[in-house]
Amino acid sequence: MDDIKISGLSKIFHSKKSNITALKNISLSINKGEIFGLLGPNGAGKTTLISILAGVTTPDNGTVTMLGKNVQTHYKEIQQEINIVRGFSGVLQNISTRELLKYYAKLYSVEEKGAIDAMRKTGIWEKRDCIVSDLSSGWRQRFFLAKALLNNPKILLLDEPTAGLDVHAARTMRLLLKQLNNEHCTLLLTTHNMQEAEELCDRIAVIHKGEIVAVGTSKQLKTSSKSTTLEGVFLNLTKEAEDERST
Amino acid sequence: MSALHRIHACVYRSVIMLKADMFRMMDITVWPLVAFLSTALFAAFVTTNKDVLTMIILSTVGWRIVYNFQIEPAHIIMEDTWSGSLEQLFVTPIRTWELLVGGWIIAFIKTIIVALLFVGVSTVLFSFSMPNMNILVLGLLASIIAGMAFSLITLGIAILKGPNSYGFLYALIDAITVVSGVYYPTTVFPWPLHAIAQLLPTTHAFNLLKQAAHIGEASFLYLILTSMLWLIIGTLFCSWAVTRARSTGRLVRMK
Ligand SMILES: Nc1ncnc2c1ncn2[C@@H]1O[C@H](COP(=O)(O)OP(=O)(O)OP(=O)(O)O)[C@@H](O)[C@H]1O
Ligand SMILES: [Mg+2]
Repeated sequence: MDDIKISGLSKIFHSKKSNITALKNISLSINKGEIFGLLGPNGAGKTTLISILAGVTTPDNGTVTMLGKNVQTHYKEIQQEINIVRGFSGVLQNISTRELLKYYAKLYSVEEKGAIDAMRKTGIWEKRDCIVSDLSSGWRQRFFLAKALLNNPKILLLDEPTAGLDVHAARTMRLLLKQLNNEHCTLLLTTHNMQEAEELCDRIAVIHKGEIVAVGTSKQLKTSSKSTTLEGVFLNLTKEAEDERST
Repeated sequence: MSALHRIHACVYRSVIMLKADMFRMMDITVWPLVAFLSTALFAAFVTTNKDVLTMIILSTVGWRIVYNFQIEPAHIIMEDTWSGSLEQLFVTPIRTWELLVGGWIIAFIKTIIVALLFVGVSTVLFSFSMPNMNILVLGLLASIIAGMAFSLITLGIAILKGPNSYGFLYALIDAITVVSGVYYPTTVFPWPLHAIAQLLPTTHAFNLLKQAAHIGEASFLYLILTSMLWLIIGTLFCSWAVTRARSTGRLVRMK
């Protein structure tokens, strides 16, 4: 069964100076219980795609079905069942972990016990009385993961969840994500870290200039791209972008 | 039931933010009181007419009500934008109307605090006695509804235009209040402005407050028509603004 089904999805951002095509006719299916990786150069459209799935941005064309519901028409219902973690998110200032999680728990209609469970699961419990905006990036990402677990999401969207984290913090984050996936949560993850993608993802899509240029397991991608590493695959598939940048 | 939880979340958030920063307490105690005293003391200096003094005290409360109700829902958006956490709010199942109601409840609580403070100080300093209660209650209610109507537009602009608009949004209600003839008749204005004032629900709400102090008479018909007009305009504008912000990707990128 597909947890996420995307077909013919397009998005153009209109600005005074130019129109930017962020997504071009994207079609993708993500299976229940899968860890699906989305790789692509800066500006490829990863964040835009995640934002559409999260119900905060509307597409121009195409349809997205999540957990059997249409995102365009039922995004508020879907938001109750999914969650999102982004790298480099901000937090409300001067509020303790426990209080801020309690606030988000209320937004998801979850009792305080749910917040305590999420804190224990992610290990942020030991920082429960600390001010979230004062925490280090690693702990702050754990806070965001705890926030994202409040509603026991069936699908978790992760946009560069380990960006800016040191080796230990990133490793902890990956372990937590694996553990979550073992508990049957479907994960859609974007990252610029090829090793991370290889370690975590069951399947990977490479997105380039708003288009999906390849989908498959890391092994399949390597075979079809005649490369021994995922980095090689990435470089081959997005070569055009590299060429443009160097000229 | 879930809607109640989410509305409660907005109120809870306001409480923890107030607790986190005691300077915010001054926004609902010291600063309004300073503004109030400067006006009321000046009025007491230039007139001994009890009705005029009562009118000025009631109008100051009315101004505060309109201000609180207008700005509070947008304030939630502003705080999240300043913290870079706006998207965290919009990925939750909260509906726009729940955010509005949450903001209005906060506004109501803040207004009660400020109104009690004003009336308390007025009783001591200006031997203020309660005027016509029925009309007063209607006037306060009308001020609340006018503030709600403008809050829909304010929230819409805050979502659509982001931080560049925030200064304007804070000044907006003061400008509207001045045009609405807060302590004076709108006839002091040249006709285009006077005519515009008649289209604002605040003008008729303030007229009711003046009437409660035995000064002039308000038009209920105009009050109801203008309140409905602005509630409808506000609702349409706000829902259009949210749709538009989702389409331009503003909710993700707002800084
Ligand atoms: N709200 C917006 N308004 C205008 N343009 C936008 C908006 N959001 C994204 N874009 C543009 O759309 C394109 C795709 O952006 P997106 O953020 O989705 O890329 P990304 O793959 O996440 O990149 P990165 O790896 O740098 O995070 C970029 O050219 C970006 O500038
Ligand atoms: Mg991105």
